[in-house]
Amino acid sequence: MHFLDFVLRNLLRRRVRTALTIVGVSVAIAAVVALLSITNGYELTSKSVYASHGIDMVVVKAGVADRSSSTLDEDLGKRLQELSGISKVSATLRDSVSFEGTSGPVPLNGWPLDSFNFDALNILPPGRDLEPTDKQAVLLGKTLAGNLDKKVGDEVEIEGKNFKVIGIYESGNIIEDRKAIMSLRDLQSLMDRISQVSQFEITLRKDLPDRTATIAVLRQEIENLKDEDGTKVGLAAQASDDFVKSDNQIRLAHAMAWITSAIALIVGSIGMLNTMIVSVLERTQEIGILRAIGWRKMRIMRMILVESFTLSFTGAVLGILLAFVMIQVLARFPAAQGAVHGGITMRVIVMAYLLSILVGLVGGGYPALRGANLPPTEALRYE
Amino acid sequence: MNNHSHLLHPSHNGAPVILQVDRVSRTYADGSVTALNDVSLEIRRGEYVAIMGPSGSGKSTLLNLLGTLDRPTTGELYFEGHPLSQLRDLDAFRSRKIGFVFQSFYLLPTLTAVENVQIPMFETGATPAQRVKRAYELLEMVSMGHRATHLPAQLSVGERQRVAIARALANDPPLLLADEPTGNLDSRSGNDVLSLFDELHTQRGKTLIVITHSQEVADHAERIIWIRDGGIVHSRAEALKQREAV
Amino acid sequence: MLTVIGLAVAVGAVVSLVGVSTGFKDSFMKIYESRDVDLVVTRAGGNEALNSGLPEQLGDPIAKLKGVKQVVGGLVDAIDFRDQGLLGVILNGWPPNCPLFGELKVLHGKLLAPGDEHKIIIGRVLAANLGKKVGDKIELYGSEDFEVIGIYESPIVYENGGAIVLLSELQRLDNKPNEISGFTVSAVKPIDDQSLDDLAERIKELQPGLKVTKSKEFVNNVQQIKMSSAVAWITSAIALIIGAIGMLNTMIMSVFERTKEIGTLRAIGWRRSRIIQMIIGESLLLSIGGAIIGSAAGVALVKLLTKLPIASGIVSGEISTGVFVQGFLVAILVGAAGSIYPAVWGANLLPTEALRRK
Repeated sequence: MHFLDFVLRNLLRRRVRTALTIVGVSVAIAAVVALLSITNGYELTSKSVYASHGIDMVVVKAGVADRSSSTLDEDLGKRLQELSGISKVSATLRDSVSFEGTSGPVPLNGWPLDSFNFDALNILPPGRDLEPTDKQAVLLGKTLAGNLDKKVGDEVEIEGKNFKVIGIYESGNIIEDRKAIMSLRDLQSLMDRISQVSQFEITLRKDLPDRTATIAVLRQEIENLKDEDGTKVGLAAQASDDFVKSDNQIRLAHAMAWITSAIALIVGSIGMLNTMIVSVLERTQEIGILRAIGWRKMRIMRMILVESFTLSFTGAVLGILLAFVMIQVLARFPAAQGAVHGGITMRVIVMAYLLSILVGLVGGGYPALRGANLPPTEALRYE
Repeated sequence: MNNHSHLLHPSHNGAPVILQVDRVSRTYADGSVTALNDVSLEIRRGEYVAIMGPSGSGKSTLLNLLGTLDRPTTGELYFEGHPLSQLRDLDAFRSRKIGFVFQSFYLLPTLTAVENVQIPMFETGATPAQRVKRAYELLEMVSMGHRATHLPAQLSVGERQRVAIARALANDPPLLLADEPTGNLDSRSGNDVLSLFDELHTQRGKTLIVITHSQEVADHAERIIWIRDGGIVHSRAEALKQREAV
Repeated sequence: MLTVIGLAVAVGAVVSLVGVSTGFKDSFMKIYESRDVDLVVTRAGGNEALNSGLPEQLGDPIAKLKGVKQVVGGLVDAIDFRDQGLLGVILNGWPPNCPLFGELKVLHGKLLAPGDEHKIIIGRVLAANLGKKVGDKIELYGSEDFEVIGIYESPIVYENGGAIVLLSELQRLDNKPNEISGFTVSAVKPIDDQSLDDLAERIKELQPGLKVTKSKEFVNNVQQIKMSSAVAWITSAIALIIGAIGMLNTMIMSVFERTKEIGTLRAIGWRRSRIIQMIIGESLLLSIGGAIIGSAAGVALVKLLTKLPIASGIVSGEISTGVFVQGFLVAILVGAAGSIYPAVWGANLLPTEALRRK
């Protein structure tokens, strides 16, 4: 009989209690894993939009809390183009519009027709790219087209005006496939935002020796751009990954995920602590016997801690499984597609196990100390 | 045995002292309760000693101190010459040197006999295979080999005590301490246990210290120590009086 | 009693989170109630209330409609002061004659006057968080410096943590000439629901692409409010599930431990229902205890939160009684749910069996 055997047998003595404690921990861990994965998923999906377009830097208006309300002058693009190290500059106007057949607003991007962003779209036949000669034409993402039940050639009403669906694209990115794209001009006139763009996207030249250094330099240059009268234009420039990471909504999502996780873990740990304390109390006499027949304090402590860790570890395994199931269920809903991108990463799994160790420690540490330090003579007499 | 003189004088005169109790007291509640008061005695290797006395006399306390389960308030105990107060790892010491047999057996109810016997061996660093092998050997020795895979609840009281004895011998300790070992047994099982003790004493040279009420049990011992009101009774006359009282 | 603590933590979480998010909503609602706003006019199709834009000129035709007492139009944006860790600070752009100025109490300096370019007034809390006094400069949008000419106190918590510039200035900064975020419309009182709906329709007819919502509905639908409520409830649900499991565990352990006691009670004649009542009753006592501790902790936590600069401009620190009631109700539910099974199980033990155990 191994030591571990002995410990496991102790746990199985009180099956219901063991089971309930494990369930408690697993719900907590499942919550943590699910929340972290979902927020990571969003971040990842957002990042991959920029990555798939080959975008190295993004420029928006400085100071805005919500990036979608950033409004810049279209002409700034020319000034950006002049900076060294930059290969191409594109602009995007972002807005939310009403689409017939949908209840909520739909995100819509307006790109200049020569934008490199179009290269990332995979337009499904029989559709085609937007041409300069097209008037009132729109490209729909595959998911959006599905929701609206539109095919190539159909008409769709946007903000009260009729647009023709020239093509349906598949970008492989969940967020992007839910959007619609039209020419910058069209969107500007549709939303009455002449000459406005929301952001500029920059691709750097391929032959740069040190991209990171170039990005840092460009950041400074862009953020210090001045108007003719000497005042700063007021731009904020970042590498695209940083841009996504620093988005307020993403940061808020992360913060909320962590707060919720913390609460779940605290409550779960308290449950574990409760179980372990009662369990040790019940076995007072038994612990006395073990000490009398030669077990050292260390071993008693180890026994209790191993019990505690076994419970928390099992809880973690089950919790991760539970989170996995939850995320699979979530993936069925189109609205949640962006959240499940990337699934449960190794990092999150490792984090879950580390947290389970913490739970095991919190739940078992004090009981282990108490159990080990029971005076044997008193413990033996306990009934 | 009618001549009781040998009960007062330690035999094994040449054998080394295994346990020495030097002016030991044990008080509780900040001195208001005295369980043992200024007790001194010596036990030699290989002796079979019985400790007798009425309830509340302090004999259990003495056993706990002898078994390193408790520390004295004042005074010192020496085991094989080592002062116990200076031992850093009392538990390790106890697991190697002392085996306990209790009146209520105290077997772990969820483990089988052979598993119970293995419990003390966890501290010795033996492999599981070695532990199992030795456990079976010990059970054979106490004639419990055939019941090795039974749980305590499935054993009679006599069988349980025998398993407990096997357990006490797990790490081959030189000293065995027994607290009313036959207290919960019927007379036949009790005799079995006493025979076992005799065997351990004469054939394996174990030192045995047994606490008991029963004269029958004490008769198996070589020497009797009388305890009353927290102290050892020394004079022969008193001892005789004690015996008659019991 | 650890279960009490566990439950207390769960309840505390519920109270503070739900309290904060309903506080959010209530504060927001207060903006419209205290200003007697009945309808909010925004651009149809835009999502965040902060982003849709309407032409400034629409204000006059709306004001001229019968039954309209007052129309206020302004531009609003949210800005970050990353160096001070302040995110989402509300920046308002009001026309110089805006009636809302009348509600501000001037603590230092003065209010904005027509023609005040590059001048800004800030709320008490923002002034403290940024460490700015009258006369100091604040850089907006990384490009222009604005001089602080006044520090005010507003009954609205968001405005205390926010700042105000002239509408024309914000329009210039945001590159939204002649644009405003929306209009708030106060109707002539008394007015009944039917007439209010009627008025809403008439406003919509003024121009295509308008969305007119009653203020309560508007507040409930603001993206951020919906999200914060959702987060609060999800977190609470999770915390309570785990807490309930713990409670169940405890009650089972406790009943099991007392089988002998229960057997004795049954033997001396206690009916099953009484045993069940006793056990559930104890569990409820524990839950209420936990709820009290948790509520107190939740309140303390929220008060503490308002001390943080990042939160003081958003969280009002008050928790409405409705939240407490909800917290208690849930705790009681958890206590009851967690004890039914053990109670029934314990009560149904045969007295002899119970007496026999251990």
